[in-house]
Amino acid sequence: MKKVLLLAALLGGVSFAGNATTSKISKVKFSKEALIRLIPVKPALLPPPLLMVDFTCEKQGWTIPVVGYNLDQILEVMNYYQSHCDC
Amino acid sequence: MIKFSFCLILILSICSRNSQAQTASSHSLTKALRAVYQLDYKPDSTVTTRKTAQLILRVNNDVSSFRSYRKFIFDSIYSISQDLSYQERIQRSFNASRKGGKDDFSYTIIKTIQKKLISYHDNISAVDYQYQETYNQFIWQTTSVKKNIAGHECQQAYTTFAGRVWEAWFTRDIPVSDGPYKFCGLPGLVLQVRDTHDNYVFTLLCVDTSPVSFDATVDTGVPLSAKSTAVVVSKSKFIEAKYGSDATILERIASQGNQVPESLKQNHTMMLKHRNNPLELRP
Repeated sequence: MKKVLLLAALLGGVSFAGNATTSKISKVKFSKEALIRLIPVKPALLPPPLLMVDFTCEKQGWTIPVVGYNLDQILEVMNYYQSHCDC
Repeated sequence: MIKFSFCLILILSICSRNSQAQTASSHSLTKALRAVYQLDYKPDSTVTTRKTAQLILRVNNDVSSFRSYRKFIFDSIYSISQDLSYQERIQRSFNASRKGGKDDFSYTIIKTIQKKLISYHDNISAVDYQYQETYNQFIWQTTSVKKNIAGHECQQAYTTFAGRVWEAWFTRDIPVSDGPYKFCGLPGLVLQVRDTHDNYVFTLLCVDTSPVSFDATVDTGVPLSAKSTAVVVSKSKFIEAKYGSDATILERIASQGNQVPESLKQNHTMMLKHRNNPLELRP
């Protein structure tokens, strides 16, 4: 019973029927939120990056797409490439 | 297209437009100016290799901003390309800014003379943060030694700042109490400032005392630019977070779905190891 209680406490969102402070628990129900947490989040559920800009290294002759969720992220990547690539 | 080309030519011609020596009287009522400095510095104290970068100081009445020239070009082109899509704006502005050369500096320093406040802005994980300091940290000792820089008579002054002793040359010809980086508080514009071991040397390349006015207190909306709403943190926390952000940048770039060039992966650790000589040795 202790293990069940511990598991329930870890999962969170558990509702107890009766007085939780006593050792007599008649019924354990998992809330919808707790059940949702049991479903692993797949990476595929993440939204794809919103923006894409090209970074060209003329000296080395390559172009790569730079992607990000906003303009600040995009520019941070481009600035880093510009500062640290031999281009 | 014509508008874009015109503005680009205008920006790139700052140095040539007003490089000739100007008389003292023309500067007597200076309220606004634009000065480009060359920074000659040694990011790694264990080797003799030096790097150079160009940075621009813009002063308008009581407010000034100091940032890299590359960043200035990006912001200028981005601001005038409103008719383009976001991707096109960023692509065009970035390509133009590459003409400003390479540099390691993404910060913007905004000084507010009336409040005697220095706000240091930089991006930490692509978000603008700032810390603030006062002018009082600069206690200058002037000497009677004088020399000529870019046609202006300059006077020598010394101060200690951030663990180094600095020698500055300022001119009363340009009565603007400002200078490169955080340096300010002298009775004239600082045209040259160097630490006594020549790790960091800022030298004026050109100055323009009739620039288009600007308001540094208004947010421009340009990506990665200084924002008045930037969260203010303590200087020590800022430095700690900035180092952490720089150390993990490749992981962050990859997590956004970007390919990281193999050459960068190899150089990243070396780069962090060799960046051991910051301008400010002590916070």
